[in-house]
This record gives sequence, structure tokens and C-alpha cells, in this order.
Amino acid sequence: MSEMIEVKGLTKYYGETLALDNVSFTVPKGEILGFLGPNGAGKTTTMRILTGYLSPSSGTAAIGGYDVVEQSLEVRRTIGYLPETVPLYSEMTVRDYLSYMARIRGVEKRRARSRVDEVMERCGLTEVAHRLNGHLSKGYRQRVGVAQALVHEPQVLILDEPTIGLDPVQVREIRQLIKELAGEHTVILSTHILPEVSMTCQRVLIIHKGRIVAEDSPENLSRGLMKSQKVLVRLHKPPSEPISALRNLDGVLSVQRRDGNLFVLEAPPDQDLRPRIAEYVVRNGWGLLELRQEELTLEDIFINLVTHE
Amino acid sequence: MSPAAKVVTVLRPDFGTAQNWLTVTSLIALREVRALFSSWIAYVTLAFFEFLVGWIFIAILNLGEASQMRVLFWDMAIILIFVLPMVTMRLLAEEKRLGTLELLLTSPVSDWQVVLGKFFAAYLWFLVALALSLYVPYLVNRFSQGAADLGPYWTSYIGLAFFSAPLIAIGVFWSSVTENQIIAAVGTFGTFLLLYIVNWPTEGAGTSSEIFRKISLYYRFQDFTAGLMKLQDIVYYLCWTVLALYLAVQVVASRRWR
Repeated sequence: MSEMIEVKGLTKYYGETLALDNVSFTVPKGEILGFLGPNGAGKTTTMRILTGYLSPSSGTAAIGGYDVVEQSLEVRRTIGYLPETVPLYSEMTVRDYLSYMARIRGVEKRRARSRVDEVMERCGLTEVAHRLNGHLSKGYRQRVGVAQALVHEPQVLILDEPTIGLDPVQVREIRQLIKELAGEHTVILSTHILPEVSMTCQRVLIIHKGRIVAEDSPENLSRGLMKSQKVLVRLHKPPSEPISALRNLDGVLSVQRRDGNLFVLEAPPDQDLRPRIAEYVVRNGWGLLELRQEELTLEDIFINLVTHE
Repeated sequence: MSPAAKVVTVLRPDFGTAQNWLTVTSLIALREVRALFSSWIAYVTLAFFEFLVGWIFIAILNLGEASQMRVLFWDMAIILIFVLPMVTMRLLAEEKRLGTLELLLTSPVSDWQVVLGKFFAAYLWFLVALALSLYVPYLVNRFSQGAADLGPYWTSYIGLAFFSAPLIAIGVFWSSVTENQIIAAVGTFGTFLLLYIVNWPTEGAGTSSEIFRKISLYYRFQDFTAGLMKLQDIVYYLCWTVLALYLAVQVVASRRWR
């Protein structure tokens, strides 16, 4: 069977509130799937249903051929899960904690010892093995969280916001680790950071208000969504009619004043207007303070997707 | 094939799983015990329990009424009603607050294993407390030069072991209901006190008073301190224990549908 995870028509109500609306997707074995969406979009709910923590109101989900409701224990044997708030027993040392997590997931005692060593090595935890969880920095806590998800060698990893709250170096390390896991594990990770998915995932699901609004590879997704690009220009001494003056520049589709002397110029996606803008501003003596391309944010993607429907 | 061998063959396929089931349950219990004893709460509650027991023991000796030692066991039961809720309040509430319950419940562990693990952890605390009070029969025996009848002491201890089981189970239940440990403790205390005094309003009212005495958890305990062990009392305590644990499992399971 090549599909490791199969989700069909998943719907979840919390009381009257619709949290997930008819969500369907599949993940083949060995793939890293990114779940992208703002807070409250339904990412955590989907993950909690997959892990058997919550039951769906309707629809089905299966992992490794096991139904998440009917065969919950089998599913839970198949998965490793990192919840959003990395839950650690603060009075345990890193080593004891990992060994406990391995043991309650059925890893036999002697095997657990070597697995804990392996996973600490892999997640860079060896030097803090005997520290108490409660004394760890945020970065180490997150790594312990990833380590506990891996310790029993699950086929499927479900990681809810694995890089949240980390500094850039740590983020890079965790991403690298996740990438290494692909192939041997099937991974679902959620994030609300766009570059994260493009860097780690082979496929992205964009989820918004409980529904999947787009599904593609990260490259296709960004390309398809970039109907225009935005360039930010800050002027020291703008002309009296700055908007029409900037609008006159060749290739500029529209101009907006964002605040003060900061202007947003919209341009076609395939050409870089910055050299021309720089030259134009300098020639007119308006004083170029800042010139940069605005990154396509998740917000833009949603606005694009939602207004498109 | 003999019937016994048949039973063994039928059971054997599940034996490995059953063993594993127990291993995981005891792992959960032992982790909780370690957590309990790495915080102050286990020691403070133990200290209070032992101190109060010792104080009452001295008081009874001072009265020169060693034969009235059953009063000590009545008081031990009352002290446990105050102390045990403070041990049980954290069991599930703490895991919920920390979020570790989510990890536990997404591991291949059944809700019963989680609840039973918590129950046995608190029960172990109770056994330690009880064991530390064993100097009472020891001293009585020693200073009466073997003349004292220790029978009622042992039935009292066994009685406490059964009396505490529903108390701890109700504690586990309340801890499953809320994240707030104070509410868990107060709920346990309130529920148990109610079951303790449930016969009071009907005292002296004939048949109905008899019925309510049968319901009361405390009233039955007095038999044990008189040296009586009745199967029906034991079964009654176990029924409450199982009921409270069953309800706790239902609460833990209900998260799925909320």
C-alpha cells in the first residue's frame, strides 16, 4: 500500500463551531506533507484526530490502513506525535523522560536504552542527557519534543509547529533533522510560516477556516499565487503628487501610500523593477531611503485564495 | 485435555499482551510516584499524617485506655479524608495542565491504563503512610508484653486499605474532571465527606436510618476496627472504587467528542 495516510471527508464540530469542513487528502509513504494555515485554521484539530486524541464528527481517517477511531491503539503504535505545546514532565531528566516515552509505547527495556542513546545523538541532546526537563532552554525543550516523537521508531511522524519559538539557528537544525527523516518516515508537519514549508516539504496543503483551499508542491503554489509582486519604496523628499509621479514609471501597475513616505508599487511577477525605480527616484532627487521587494506572505496567499473562490 | 489445561491454552495467546498491559500501567504509576516524591506534597502530607497519628496515639496512651485504640483508627480514617485529596488532586489535573496527557493518550495506552496507573500511584503513597504507622501495634505489643490482642489492629489496617480505595478513586475522578487542582481536592473532599455522613440526618429514624448507615462509607469501617471483616463491606468499598474509576475513564474518553 503506497498511501500511508488517507483522510476522507473529515468534519469536526466543537459544539456549534465548525472546525473542520470536509477535509480529504492522502500522504504517500515517505513524503513530508506541510500543513499551512493561520492559527485556528484547523491544523491542530486535524492532527489531533489523526493521533486519536479527538474523534471526528464525521468522515474517516486511516494511518497505515488502520482506522483512527476503530483501531486507535494500532494507529497510536504507528505514529510519533509532537503537540504544539511541547509537553514535558519537568521533574524528569531528559534521558529518563525519553526512556519512559519509549517504554509506554511498547519498546522493550534493553532496546529502549539504545534507542534513547540514538535519538539523543540525532537530536543533539547528548550533552543535556542528565539535566532536568524543567531546566532546559526553549530550543532544547523543542528538541526533546522531537526526540520523544522519534524514540519508538514510528512509521509516521505528526509534528505540530515543530519550529515555533526557536531562534534561527535552532530552526535550521530542526528543519534539517526533519528533512533527514523523510523517506524512512512519513511526516506531516504544520506551520504558519511560508518559507518553512518551501524548505522542508514536498507537498503543501493550505488550510483555511477548516477547509483545504490549495494543495500542491511549494514551488507551484508560490508561482501560481504570485500574480504580482510588490516593491516597497521609502522616499526622503517625495514630490507633491507622489502617487501619480510613481505611477508614471513604466511597468508599475498601481501605487499605494502605506504610511508616511512609504509607498507600495505593484509590478508584474516576471520582472524586477527595482533598478528602474532606483534610477527614477534618484534622477528626480526625491531621496531614496529604502527599496525592497515585499515577500509573499501567508496573508497574501490567503487573500489571493479566498478572494479567488 | 483437562479443563485446566484448556483454560491455560485459551489464555496463553493473550498472556504476553496482558503482561505488557501491566508493565505499561505500572510504568505510568511509577512515574507518578516519582513525580509525587520529587515534589514537597508527598512529604508534607506524609509528615502531617504521621504527626497526627502519633499525637492521637500519645493522647490515648495518656488516658490509659489502650483498649480504646480503635479510636485511633477512626481518627486515621478521618485524617485520610483530609490528606488524600491533596495527594490525588494533581494526578490527572497536572497532566492536563502541562499537556502531557495529550502525549499519554496518543501513545498506545488505553484510558483504563492511565486511570489505573494514577490510582495505584496514589495508593502507593497511602501504603507508605500506613506502613509508617506500624509502630503503633509494635509498641502496643511490646509494652503489653504480648498480652494485647493485636487482631483488631490488623483488621483495622485491612479496613483502612479498603476504606481508602474509594477515597483515592473519587480523587482520581475529580482530578479527571478539572485542570484546577484546588477544585479537584475540594470536590474529592466534599464527595467523600458526604458519603461519610450520609446517614446523619436519618439517625434514629428506624429502617431508613439502617439503609443510610449501609450507604455510608464510614459506618462500615467501624466493623473493621472491632475486629470484624465482612465480605459485604469489602465488596461495598470495591464497588465504589470501580464506579469512581469507571467514571474517571469515561471523563478521560469524553475529550474525543467534545
